[in-house]
Formats: sequence, structure tokens, C-alpha cells
Amino acid sequence: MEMTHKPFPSPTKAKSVAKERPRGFNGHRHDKYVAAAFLGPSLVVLGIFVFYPMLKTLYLSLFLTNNVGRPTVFVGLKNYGTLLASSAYRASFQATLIYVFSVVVLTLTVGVLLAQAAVQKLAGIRWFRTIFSATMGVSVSVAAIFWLFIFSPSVGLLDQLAASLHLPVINWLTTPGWAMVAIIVSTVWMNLGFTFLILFGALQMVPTTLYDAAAVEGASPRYQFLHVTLPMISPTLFFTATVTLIGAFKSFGLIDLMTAGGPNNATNLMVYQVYRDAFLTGNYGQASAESMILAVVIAGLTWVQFKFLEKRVTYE
Amino acid sequence: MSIELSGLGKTYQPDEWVLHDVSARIASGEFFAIVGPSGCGKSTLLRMIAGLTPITAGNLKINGRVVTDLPPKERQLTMVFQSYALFPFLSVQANVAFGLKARKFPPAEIDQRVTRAIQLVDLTAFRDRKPRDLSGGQRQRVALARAIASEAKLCLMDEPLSNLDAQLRVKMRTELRRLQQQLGLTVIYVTHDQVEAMTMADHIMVLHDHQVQQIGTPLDLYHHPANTFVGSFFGAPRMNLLPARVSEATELTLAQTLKVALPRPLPVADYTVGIRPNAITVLPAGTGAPCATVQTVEYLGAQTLLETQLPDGTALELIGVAPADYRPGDRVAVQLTGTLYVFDAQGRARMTLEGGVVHGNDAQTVSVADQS
Amino acid sequence: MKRIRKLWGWLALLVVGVTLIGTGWATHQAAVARAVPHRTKILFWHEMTGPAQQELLRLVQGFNRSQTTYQVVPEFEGNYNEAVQKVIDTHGTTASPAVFQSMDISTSQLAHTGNITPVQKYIDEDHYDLKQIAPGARAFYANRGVQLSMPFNTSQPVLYYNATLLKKYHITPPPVAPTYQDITRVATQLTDRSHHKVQGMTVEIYGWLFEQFLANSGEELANQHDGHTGTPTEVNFTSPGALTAMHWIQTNLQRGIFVNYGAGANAQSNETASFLSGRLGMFLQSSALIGQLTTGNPDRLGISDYPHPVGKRANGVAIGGASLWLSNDKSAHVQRGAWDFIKYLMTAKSQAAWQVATGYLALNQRSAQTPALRALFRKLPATRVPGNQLRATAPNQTNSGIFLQGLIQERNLTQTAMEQIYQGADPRRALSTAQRAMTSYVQNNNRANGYQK
Repeated sequence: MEMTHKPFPSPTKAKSVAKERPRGFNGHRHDKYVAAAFLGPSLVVLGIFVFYPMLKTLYLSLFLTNNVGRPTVFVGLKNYGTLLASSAYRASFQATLIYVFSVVVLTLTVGVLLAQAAVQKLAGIRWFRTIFSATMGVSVSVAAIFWLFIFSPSVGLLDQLAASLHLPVINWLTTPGWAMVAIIVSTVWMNLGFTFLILFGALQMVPTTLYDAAAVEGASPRYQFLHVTLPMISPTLFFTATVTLIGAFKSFGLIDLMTAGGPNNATNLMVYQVYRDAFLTGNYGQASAESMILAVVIAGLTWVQFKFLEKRVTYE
Repeated sequence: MSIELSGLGKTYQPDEWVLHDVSARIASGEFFAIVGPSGCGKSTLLRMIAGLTPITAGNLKINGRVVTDLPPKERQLTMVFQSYALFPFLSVQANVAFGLKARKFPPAEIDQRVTRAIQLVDLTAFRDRKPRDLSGGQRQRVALARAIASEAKLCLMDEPLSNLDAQLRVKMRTELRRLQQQLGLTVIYVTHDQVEAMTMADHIMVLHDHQVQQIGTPLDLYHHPANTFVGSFFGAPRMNLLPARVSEATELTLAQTLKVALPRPLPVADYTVGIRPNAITVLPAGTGAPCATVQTVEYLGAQTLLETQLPDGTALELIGVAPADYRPGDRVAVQLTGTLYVFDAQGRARMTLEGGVVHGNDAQTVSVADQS
Repeated sequence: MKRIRKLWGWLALLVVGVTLIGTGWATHQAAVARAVPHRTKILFWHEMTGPAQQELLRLVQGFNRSQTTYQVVPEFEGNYNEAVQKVIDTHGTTASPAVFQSMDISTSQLAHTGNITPVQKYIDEDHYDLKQIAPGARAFYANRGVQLSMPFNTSQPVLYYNATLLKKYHITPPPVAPTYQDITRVATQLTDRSHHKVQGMTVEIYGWLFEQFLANSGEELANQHDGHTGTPTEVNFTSPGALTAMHWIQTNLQRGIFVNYGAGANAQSNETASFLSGRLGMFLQSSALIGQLTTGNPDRLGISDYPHPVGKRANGVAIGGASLWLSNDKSAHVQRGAWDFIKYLMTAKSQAAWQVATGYLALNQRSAQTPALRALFRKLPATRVPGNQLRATAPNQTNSGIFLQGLIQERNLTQTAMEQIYQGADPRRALSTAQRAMTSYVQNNNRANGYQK
């Protein structure tokens, strides 16, 4: 039908082409040097700032450390054993999963909704766009103070509001369940600025004719959102989800400033436990073991995310 | 599937009409082209018919039903876009099935319709490809298949061929036309390309200056342009427009040079006269008094286009005599042998003088006098 | 055009401004450098904030002016917990301090690092009169007769009450040395008579307060007599003293006459805010809060000793706060200068000024006779109470702090237990869990440091 068309090489063909390439850089000594010259600097930097600390952490996790932080008694995997046997650590693990899951889901949901609202062409929408992205410019400490004011008992905004509406007053930061809610809400709020900005950009990149076509084809706004918008921004959603997931595992500032892991360790997330053990009680062996577990969990979940979620992502 | 546009208008700011008083009737099974230069509002008009842009004034009827304020999906039509508007994340067949799924058709019917539509556009071998793995022409055919699968009898097309290369565009014209006739579709087709409109359409609406300039068959528009705009918009090479004056009731002077006798009197006033290059014969050298000076020469193979200038500075485009060799600076003599269109000062058609003969009347030679 | 010219104008102004500031800074630095041509620098790390930091810097200035050999350079190091690790991690480098302030519960850990010179060395050399320093404070930082560090900012946990509110509701104030029962009475009356507008009492979820309940009951938290006779190998969080105190709080929380403000810095600022706004009648907190509770408070502040169990004499509470330490990685000359600085801070005059400005107790016994402190006591008689409580305490092995490494961990664990108890958990169970975790921590730590196989 069409003369200009030539079929694209199929994937298998592409592979065979790669195989046929006569020499990799093993083949030429000169290439080796060039490769080393290009990779060297980043390998050195990674080595110093990533690989060495990781190996050192692994090493430390196999020891008891004395009061100046030196590894003195080799205990093998006992630090790990202690952790896995500790109900407190298991609770911390569970709290972390609840926190991370809630933060990722809420950040993405609210972020998409805000971004979707902000792409509408309404009067004054620029104002809202600025407001929605404003938390990008808020530092963690400022955000913590802001939320402490809101959640504070007796003088806090929320409880004053509740009191004036004759609703039960909640001790947000001193009741275990509510404290978790409070830090999830605060974290989501902190995340929103960035998430909104990224998703808003993605939404604006969706060609409007796609919506026109969908509308003409009989798709309701809801159907358009689910079957046009979401697939179109899925690469961005996936990126945001990964970044938020890893960020949530590493959440520290808000927790340190708002609950310090309390009440009753309800918000004592894994990374906060690492901080406590390493920098408060100087228990480096234990802290290292916790770090290794945390790293494995993050890597594992990220892998799962790539394995199962990325299938549903469509890159153009 | 007849469509009736009565007094359609669109404003974004109060009193700034993007489109004003657009009326037309489009019969069932017709290929109706809307043509005009960019910015004339033709795409806006199409989007208003589709329901994608709200209608400010007037009424729209499809099949006798008023649909002015209905959303697109209730207008029972389909649309093909210049950018194809394919969903990049869906395969060819999923793209074609999109509307049917959104409308919750039973799977078996979807499958049958999609298969047929893809067959019609000859893409069966590519049904599992993603749009990114298709060429421009193939993508356009996917968009067509989607329109076909919806089985709506009214199809709106917004410059569907503009993103294709010239050769492919010519091929696709025929194919579109074939499909339209085969399926009995009513097509409203927006284009800025007069050739496309001329070659495909049953009727053409010419839009310019936010208004309808003329509606008619391609031949109508060519032979009886309602105004200077329509006259110069259709036909290549373009119609020459010469300033003219009637100083005595039956004598018309073109560009202060050429005199034409009028079959019936016209009021004494300034006019514009349109003459297509093929209505002017360039006389062989040595016959007749030369009056036009050649400025540029364009060889097109079969023809030679001459850009010339009359003594008063008016430009006149001519078709040279085949074997002759023209050079800038040559002076040539001409004879008016074809149709002359007389427009009034506002550009409205007043009179047609055909083949050196006033339309409908007995033969009357149009004398060409050299004034100099 | 106009805009651009304007922009250039601003830019020029900015450049001039930056240059001026830069020049000014450089000149200032040069002046500072010139002012101390051959003085020995003494790096001093501290963790004081707010008014205490201002007063401390004033004292540093006073010392620098008082002699020409040394120049003390103060550096703020953030919170107590982090400072300990920093001191340990920088030891032996040029970044490490010659003298530093470190919190009460780091005493044993610092002593065991081997990084410090006990102040006892200079006390002996100078025949420094240690008796002028309050014995209750001294004992906390001494081990087996050796003074390890010099007590500095020192407070006592006390009971604060709103005397004006009590008077308003015709309630007899708690006695100077109240029992748990006395406090229950006042809290009940406050809650009832104010129709729940006033919260009776709160005890912050704070390991320090937990330790004080044991101290005031005369019970040990760690074996080896709270570490004063040897390295502890296990802890006891479930002694009768601990259980009684926890039952007392839990019952009253359930009765609604005590309230829970939670743990941490936020809890402290929230309870203080409530107290100052007349919504909270009583709370237990450090005497260092006096300054904050008296300035701008329209109500009269009442202060009593830390409560003790019924039917027992109050054993006295341990102090809280921090002490001053000498690093042993500096030359003898520098260490001597650091010691001189400590001596300066401990003079009767410095200590009096310190208490007036901060609410921390003046540790020099002769400070009471200084005009500054006498004026304070005249103005606010309640401010005598903590000092009196300290003086009334005869130091013994259960009220002189716990000489145990990992007390931060102990506080984390007891705090978690307190939280559970406040939420209604069985005190014995919650405390047993914490106790097991702490004993295991202590034993690991002993192994890691080679104190025990």
C-alpha cells in the first residue's frame, strides 16, 4: 500500500546485530584505556562515597562496638538475629511499611488530582498552580513547626477547630494511631509541591487532540481520565512513585521534629531507629545491621516496583 | 445524515466574532469541504460542529435534530485529526476499538467492527503495532479506521492530509474519496489547500474574514467566483486582478491600458477585473503592439509562466507561448481570449465576459487597444 | 531602556554593598586577630541555647578579659545527645575541644572512653577548695572518690503549681515535700472545682523523671549500687518504687485528673504553654524552667520538692543538667587554661549571675551571699526551693545519678514503657520488657568494651 514504508527491524534481529559486532572494548587495548578514563572518575567518587561506606556498614554490622564506636567483638549475624527477634523492631518495620505505602499512595493520588485541577483553564488558576507547588520551597524544619502548630493540643488549629464544632478533641501527636496519621499527612503535604509540579508538567504534555478524539469517540470525562490521562502520564507517575517510595523510606526530618519516633514508638520508622542507635546511643553495630536491612528492603521494593509496575508503564 | 448550519457564530471576547453568521446545508452522503486561508476560522467551525467548541450563536441540526448544545458523544459523528490523535500507548486495533470500548459495546461486536475497519484501510498486517512503529500515512489510516469502526455516518476531518508528503497526499485523496463513497459517509472536510478541496469535494464552503464567502460546487467556484477572494483563491496560476474604470457607460479600461467594450452599461466607477492567466493569449512576437514588460520567467516544463508589468505598473501573470524564449525586459503583446470577471469596488462580482463573449449574449470581440 | 538602566543601578548598588560588607568583615576579622596576638586558644564546646547561651557567652567574655594568656573560643554544638558522639568522634584531631559541656547521663560513657583528664588532677594540683561546690551536684560527676568533671548547669526536678489558681478554688497548696497522695488530692480538687476547666497534673513521659521516682524512693536502677561500686551488669525497672509511681500516674490518668502531654521537646513546650495560660495546675519539670515560668506570668508560681511515696521519707533526687570536661588530647598548657576557665565559671559571682539569668542553680555555696542572688530570692522567694532541696539532700548511692553507660538507651526504653503505661498497659509488663532490653544492651556493651566476657 505504501511504498515508503520499510518494516522496523524486529527485536530479535536487533539482538543478533549486537552479537555480530566484531569486538567489545575487550578487543582493543586502546579502547580499554579510554573506557577507564571515562569511568574512572565516577568509579572513584562512587567508591569513596557509596561502595566503601556500604562495605564498612556491612562489616560493622557483624560486630559489637565499644563506647568510642570501634568494632571489638565479632558476633556474626547476631545483630541481625537480635533485630529480627525483637518485637519492637518488627513493629518499626510494620510502621515503616504502613507509612511508606500511605505516603506513596496519597502523594500520587492527591498530586494527580491537584495537577488535574490545575490544568483546567479557569480564572485565577495560575494562583492555585503557585500555591500547589509552594511546598517545594518550604524546608523541613519550617514545615515541622507549621504542622506542630496545627496538631498541637489545646492551642493547635485543628483541635480549636474541632472544639468550636463540638467535635472530640484529638491528641494528635501523643496518640499512637493519630501520630502516624499526622506525620503521614505532613509528609504528603511536603511531597506535594514536587509531585504536583512534575505531574502538572506531564499533564500539560498530553496533546489536547487526544481528549478531543476521546470525547468524539464517546468517552466520558471519567473514562478519559482513566484511559487517556493516566496511561499518558504513566512514565511520570512511575518515576514519581519510585522517588516518593525511596524518599518515604528515608523520611527523617519531619519525624525527628514532630514526634521523635513516639508516642510509644508508633512513628519510630526504620531509618529513625538507625539514627537513634547510631547517633544517640552509639550502638553502631546494631545501627549498621539496621541500615543493611533497610537498604535491602528499599532495593527489594524498588525492584518489585520495576518488575511489576513498569509493565503497565507506556513510554512513547 | 444531513447537516444544517443556520447563522452559526463564535466569540471568545464579546463582539469579537471569530465566526459570524455561517449557514449551510450539507446533504447526506456529500463530501463537503470547508476551505480558507489559515486563521479564517475553519477549524473552529469544524470543532463547533463536533461539539468540542461551544457555539455562541445560531443553530446546528444533524439529521433534523437540534444538537447545538449537546456534547460530542451525543452527536453521532466521528472525527479525524491532522495530528491523527492516536493513543501512543495502544496498539492499532486497540486504538480503533477505543470508542467502542468507551461506549461499552459487546466484545464480539467490537472485534468484528475493528477487524473490518482495519481491513478496509489495509492495515491488517499491522494490527498489533504501536503507532510509533508506523509511518505517517499508516497512522492516518489508523485514524480513519477508528472513524470507520464507530459506524457514525458523519465524519469530520480536520486537515487530515496536511502532515503527509506531497506524493502520499495525492494518493490518499483518491483513497479517502473511495472510502467515503463506499461507506456512504457524509464528510465535512477542512483544508487550506484549494486543490484538495477542488479534487475531492461535492460542495465547497469558502471561509475568509470570519464569514462565508461562497458555497458551491468546485466548478461553480471556479467559473463563477462570488468575489475577488474566491476568484483568486481557486485556480493555479492565480487569477490576475487588475484595477479598472468605467468612464463611459460601456467602456471598461483595465490598468489604464486595455480597453474592453461592455455588452451592457455599468455605472461610472472604479472596478476590479479578474482574468486568469489562461484567459490571456500572448501573441507571437511581431503581431500586435507589445504592452507588457516581462519581469521574471518561470519554466514549469509544459508551461512558461511570465511575470509581467503593464505600463502603469500593474502586475500581470501570463502563460507564454510554448517554444518561445522569454527574457526579462522583453515586451510582449497580449490578447484577452478567455473570461473576464468584473468586480465592483467592494470586490463583489458584477459581470462575466466569457471567451471574449459576454455571457449568454452574441459574440462580441473584445478589442484590445494599445493606448500608448 | 529605562528598566535596563534601573537594573544596572540595582546591580551596581549590590556590588558596592557586597564589597562594603566584605571589607568590613575582613577588617573586623583582622581586628579580632590583632587583639589576641599571642594568646593560647581554648576551644570550648557547649549546648546552651536562648538566655543560657547569652549568659554563657557573657561569662566567656568575662574570662577572656580577666587574663591575657588564654582566649576561650566558644562553639555551639547542637543538642546534648549529638554532642557526645561528636566529642568522641573528633577526639585526637585538631577539631576537638579542650573543654566541653556534656550532659549528666554521658558521665560514665565519657569516663570510660579514656579521652578525658579528670578535673581531680587540677583540684589536687591547685588545692582547689571543692567543698565550696554543692555536694549533691559534685557527687553526680564523681566516681570512687575521683572528681571526673565539674558540675556546671545544674537543675533539680521540682513540682510546679499555679498558686493563684489554687487560691482561687480554695485549695491548700501541696506541702514542701509532698507525697503522691498530696498531689492526688490537689489535682482532684483542681479538676472538680474548676469543672474540668483546669487539668490537675501532668508528668511528662521522660526517662529522667522515671529515674527520679526511683531516686526519691531510695531504690537502685542498676546493680553495683547504681554503678558507684563497679560496672553494672543488669538493671531493675520493676522495683516497688518504680511500680508504685507508675501505678499512681496510670490510675490518675484513668480518673481524668492527670493528663498526658506525651514525650520530647514538644511535650515540654506544650505543658509549659498550658501551665502559663492557666489550663494546667501542676507539673513536674526541671528547676531550670523557673526563669521562663516567672517572666510574664500573671499568676503566682508555687514550687515544691519532687514527690515521694507515702509512708517513706524522701531520699532526695539526683540533679540533672551537664558538667564541664577536659579533653586529654591537648597540651598541658592548654589543659591548664581550660581548667582556669572552669574555675572562673565556678566562682561565687559567676554562679550567682548564672542562676539569676538562667534558673540553673548556683553551685558555689558562697553565691547565696552575693547581692545578685539575694535580690532574686527577695523578689521571687519560690526560687529558693530547688536550692534548698539540693542542700537538704545527703548524697548517697541512689540519689547521685547512675554510673552506667548507655543511659540514653535506658531513657528511650523507659520512655517507651511509660508511654505504654500511660496508654493503659500493665506497668509491670511494660517495664519488664524494657528491663530485659536494657540488660541485654548493658551486657553487649560490657562485652564490646571488654568489661565482661
